[in-house]
Amino acid sequence: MKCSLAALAALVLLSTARPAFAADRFRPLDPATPVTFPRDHGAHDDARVEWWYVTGHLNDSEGRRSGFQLTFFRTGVSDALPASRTSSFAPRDLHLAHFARTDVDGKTFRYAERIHRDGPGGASTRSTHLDVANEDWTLTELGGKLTLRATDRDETLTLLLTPLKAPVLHGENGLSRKAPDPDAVSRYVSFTRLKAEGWLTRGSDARAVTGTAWMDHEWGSGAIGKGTTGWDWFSVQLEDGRDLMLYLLRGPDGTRTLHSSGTLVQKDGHSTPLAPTDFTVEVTSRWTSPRTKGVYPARWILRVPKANLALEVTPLLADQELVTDRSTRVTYWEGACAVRPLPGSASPAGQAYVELTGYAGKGALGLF
Amino acid sequence: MSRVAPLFGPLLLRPLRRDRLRFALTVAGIAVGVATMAAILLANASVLASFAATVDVVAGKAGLTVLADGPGIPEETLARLAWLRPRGVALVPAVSATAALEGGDVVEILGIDPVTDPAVRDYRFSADETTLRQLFAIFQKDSVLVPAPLAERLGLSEGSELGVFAGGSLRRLRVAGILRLEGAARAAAGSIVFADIATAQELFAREGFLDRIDLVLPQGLEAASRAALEESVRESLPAGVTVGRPERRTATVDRMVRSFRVNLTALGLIALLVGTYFVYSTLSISVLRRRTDIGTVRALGASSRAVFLVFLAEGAALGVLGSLLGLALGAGMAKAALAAVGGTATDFYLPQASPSLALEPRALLTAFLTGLVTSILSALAPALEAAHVDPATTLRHGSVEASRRRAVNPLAAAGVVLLFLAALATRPGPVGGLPLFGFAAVFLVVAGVSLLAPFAVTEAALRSDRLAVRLLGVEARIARANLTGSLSRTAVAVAALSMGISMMVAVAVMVGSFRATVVDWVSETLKADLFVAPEGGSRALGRLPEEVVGLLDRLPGVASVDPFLSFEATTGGVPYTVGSGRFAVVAAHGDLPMADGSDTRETVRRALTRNEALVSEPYAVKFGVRPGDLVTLPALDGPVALRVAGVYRDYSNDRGTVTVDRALFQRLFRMDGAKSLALRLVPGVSPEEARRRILAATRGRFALRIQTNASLRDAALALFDRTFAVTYALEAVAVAVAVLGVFSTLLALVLERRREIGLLRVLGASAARVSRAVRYEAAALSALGIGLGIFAGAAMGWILIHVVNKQSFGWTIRTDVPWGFLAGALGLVVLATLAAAGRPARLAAATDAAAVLKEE
Amino acid sequence: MGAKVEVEGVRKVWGTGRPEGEGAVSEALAGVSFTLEPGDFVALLGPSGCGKSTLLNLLGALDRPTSGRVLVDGRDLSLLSDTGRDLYRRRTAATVFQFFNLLPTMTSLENVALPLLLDGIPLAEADARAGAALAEVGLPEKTGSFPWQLSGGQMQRVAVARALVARPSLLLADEPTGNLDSRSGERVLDLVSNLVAARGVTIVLATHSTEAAARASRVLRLRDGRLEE
Repeated sequence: MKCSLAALAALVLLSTARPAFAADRFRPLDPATPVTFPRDHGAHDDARVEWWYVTGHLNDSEGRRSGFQLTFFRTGVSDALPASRTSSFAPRDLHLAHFARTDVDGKTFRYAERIHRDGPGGASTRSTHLDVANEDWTLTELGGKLTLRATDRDETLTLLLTPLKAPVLHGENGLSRKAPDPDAVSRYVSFTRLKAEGWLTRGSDARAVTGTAWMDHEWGSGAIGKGTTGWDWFSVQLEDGRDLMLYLLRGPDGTRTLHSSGTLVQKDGHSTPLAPTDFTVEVTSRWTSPRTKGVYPARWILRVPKANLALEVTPLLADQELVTDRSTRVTYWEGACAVRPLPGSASPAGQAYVELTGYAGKGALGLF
Repeated sequence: MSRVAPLFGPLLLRPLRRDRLRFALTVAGIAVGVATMAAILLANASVLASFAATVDVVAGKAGLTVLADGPGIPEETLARLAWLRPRGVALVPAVSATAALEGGDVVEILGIDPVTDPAVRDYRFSADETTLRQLFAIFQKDSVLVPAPLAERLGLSEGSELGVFAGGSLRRLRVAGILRLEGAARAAAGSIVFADIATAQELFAREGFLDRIDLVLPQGLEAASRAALEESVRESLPAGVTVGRPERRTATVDRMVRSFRVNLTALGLIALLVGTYFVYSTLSISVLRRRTDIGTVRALGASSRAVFLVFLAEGAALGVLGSLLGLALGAGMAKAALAAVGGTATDFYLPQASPSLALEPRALLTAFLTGLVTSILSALAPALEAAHVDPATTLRHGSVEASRRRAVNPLAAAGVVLLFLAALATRPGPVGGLPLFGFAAVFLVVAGVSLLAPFAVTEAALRSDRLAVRLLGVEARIARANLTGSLSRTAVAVAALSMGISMMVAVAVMVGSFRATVVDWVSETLKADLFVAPEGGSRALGRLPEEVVGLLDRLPGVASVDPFLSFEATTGGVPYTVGSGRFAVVAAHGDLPMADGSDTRETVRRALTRNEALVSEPYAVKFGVRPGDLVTLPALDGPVALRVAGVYRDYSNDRGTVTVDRALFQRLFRMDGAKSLALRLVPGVSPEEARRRILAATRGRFALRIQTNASLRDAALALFDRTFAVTYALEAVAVAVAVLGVFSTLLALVLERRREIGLLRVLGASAARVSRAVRYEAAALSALGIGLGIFAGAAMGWILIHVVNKQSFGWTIRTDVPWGFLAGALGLVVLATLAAAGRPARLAAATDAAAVLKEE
Repeated sequence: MGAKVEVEGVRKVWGTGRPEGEGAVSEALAGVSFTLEPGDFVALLGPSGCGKSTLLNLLGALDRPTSGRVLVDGRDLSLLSDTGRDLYRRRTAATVFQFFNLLPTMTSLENVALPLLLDGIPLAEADARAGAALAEVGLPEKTGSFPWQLSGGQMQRVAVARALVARPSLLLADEPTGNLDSRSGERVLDLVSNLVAARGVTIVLATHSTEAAARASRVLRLRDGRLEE
């Protein structure tokens, strides 16, 4: 449920722009419209917000472990498609991107952010297939595989991502509810298991890496995130081949869960939606950020009884907090986590990425 | 100083009370000179400071700025520089334009990318909290942010409409936010409007181009890595695009206004020279009148050094007083000048709102020190004279004058030598683009003629004596005797007057010639029937879209259309203009006079067929280019060298222009539309009829200014006259100061010669005759001053036209003496000096013979 | 012909600037009366401040008496208009001063010609007469000299020439030898007495030199503004 950040940007601009759906560009999602690939991996100009989110766990030949996150957001700033406009800078979308690496053994976490408008030398998306770029950070689909490339300072990550399962449509035909508001739905599509191979270079040191990645792609125009103050999101890849996605939205009081949902993906790629009653999330530890003084959950016990899962999720590094001053101006925690079976359960082990928003500052929505 | 201090009372303070009027005049004289100079320097500094401030504010935190030599930075340049981003360098593009608002204000419009711009420039909103959201409001098409003072002046608030003339029509923009006068909003003294970069490109038809890319460098970058980075940036830039420190724009503007400033400063210096004459005159009179007192204090044991210092101190005190007064006066003058038309320099070089007065310390100090130093220097001779007063025998006036008289011929010889040097100084070329030798020649003429003044006075007195006595009676002889008798003062008065007159004559000749030349040129070049330009205040701003060109091309009744299109270019920081027209039309009509008088039609036709360029005379002079040479233009696809087919006369632009045929221009620079269009009509179609047709054809879609031939000519000459108004003011000041000098001299002479006047009365001269003699003296002074002034002025005028002007601006000017104006002005000077003689003459007439003779 | 001069009870009082009352005025001449016949050569003797110069100024119509009359050839000088007084100084009364009072910026010739030119005599004639006058005083070769190029005696001789060139009937000489060495003084006095004798001009010679007084036909002594003949 990586909707958070782009949704925030959209909200910001909503307030100055005209009401949603007033202009010809943005349309509510039509449940009847089928999702087709590879077209729907590309950008959707009629959606106000859209994002592509890749997270993954990597190992090099010496067994060093690391995690990465590369996110591309697109949020519409112009209600009208700029067909009548002649400038190549004609504002259509804002393009934001975050790139973070977790060096598990070195216990370091580094991240970078970017923000651009449309125009030469900035950022771009394509609506025919997956091809997004923000400066030299790119995510592209080629012959059914994805390539990813991002640099920050002296580090460069280059990956070839091979889908091991078909794309998963979350919710009903990919329509995922994001808030109590009936408009608050988005299309939510994931590659829950991608084989990752490539290079992680740091200065002159280049290491071949392999691992497993997860990609989310979401888009929509509705009041996504409205009435929520934050959320917890889990993507879990289990050693038995199953994948699990869970999210919980917190209400205005900041603690009570307003809405939650999930998807369980079988080894063969078959997926089933999880209702709020199908799972529980229990926080067993907390971590206080030294920078923002935000108090984040730092260990969880996930239970999905009908899938026979009882998992303990533990961050691989406590501090995986991003303070994005330049782009989204949102502070959140997004980190690589280890997944172990709860003692006494028959669950498999695995790995996860967890996103936590709305824990630092006055709340996720007011920060922009 | 304890030995000097006791002397101040008897030698200075008491006489000061007695001669209040003369001291006041002296202070005023210096003040006027210093004021003139201060006003020029301050006005100039203000213009530059305001520009520099704008450059600074706009450059913000940028460490380097990418600018174009040519019509713009291709926007792909951003992609070419993308490699800088991973190195921590922020790339911030912007588009800028100057535009007229509905209602006449002229503002800068800066098209920014609100996403990246905060990295380099600060924006603070009038609303309580400043957030990016407010800046992002300009993403909406045709939305702008307006600084609070401008909004207040125009009565704007968030949501209101702002009319801007752009792209040939009046565009209504929406005010999306009000900025506090902080950060970027301070640019152009707050006369700036911020729009989205896309809005700006579309408003001004600048799609595909940027005007600047600011680079914000990582903090703590060492000089060496910074230089290396700059070099790498330079290598990745396309042709015609440069990178450097943001301030280099200021240097370019400084170059633009430098000639103008130097010319005015030189004129101001002459005004100051006239002013400091007062110091000399007043002090030497003081010394003469206090000869006995000086003798007494010397007899009482005061050293000659002490006496020297006292009088030098008096000169310095007068200098300080006059200079301080001058600074205040100058600041007022500068303020008025800046307020009047935004300053001539602004008008010509910086098309933006009037800069406010900046009391730049260096300008103030320069004017003050110049006033003080010249005062002290001119006090030197009188102070030395005072120091040499013999305590035992107080020498009589006559013998002092006699020793002076012996110096007349050597001085005259020196004057001739200086004039000869002046002639030599007209030969060398400019130094660093400035006609330094030309100015030297002007000052040599002034100095030479001044040195000739004593000779002229004695010669004229001797040679005219008998004739004058026959014609005017014995009063003429008395006047003559007075003139030669107080040569040290009368010659200086004549020199000062001649300086003022020469300046007036020189400037009148120069401006008159220039004007006559321009009038001729205008009538030779402005031959079309109608001129169409975008609406928008008095200035030629903006560009009409290509559609208007096509529309006029097809309009019935229009025989030919010559669209003018240009942009400002720089080469190595030196600005010039690249222009274009339809050479076929020019060749057909021949309305582009060539500098060397060669056939326009043939030259333009040749340029058209061979893809050659024409350059304006100022360009040819500035860059040393002749027909047959190559000029390199910053075409978008790389530099293009064109052969120069001919040099044409152009007085409209001193930056210099390279003009090419429109088709070639559009190919090289991918620019369309027109800044103005010259239309020739089919015989039988009246301009009024054509105007109606144009308006009907455009049906109000474009805001056009359509001028007839006559009204454009009038406008051109009005602009010319406005430009030179300031020089007339300067002349007037110099002449006024010189006339005051005549007054002061006469007054002093009358006071000094009371005894002789008494004697004349004893000899039976009536009061009327005595006063008439003073008036003759005034007439003689003014005649001599005018005579020498005309001589010097003619020489200076020649130098200004053929050396200073030619080297500064590259204009060939046909000498055309404005006889009528000169006669009138000189007549006024004569009347003024005669009027100035009134009080001294009355004073002379009132001399009580018995009393003054009794004083013995 | 010389002038007849009648001085009748002339008083001249100067304000001293003090307040009213004792010492508020000083009396330069306290009722002086005398008559000079045409051709008289009168020496006016007395110490400094006795009123000699005041008397000469009255005789030269440079000043008016506080009371009493000065008649020259029967005309009351006090009743002359400004123009009449200018005319009187040009044609009737000429003055020679102690300090010569030549105009420093004119040549001898120009100095001497000045009274003639002031009287409207054409330049050529004025120059001729001035040249002749200079010859008469023995300085024919000094016509082009400026005063500062002349000795004191020469200057005074030029002054005498200037005084006599317009053929006045009354010559007022105020200490003419006061600034000269005795030999030069002698020469000037010789010159004056000879010329005067030849033309019958009335002379008033103010002096405190008894040698000078010796040449006079008559001596008037002035002390504290009173005549003590």
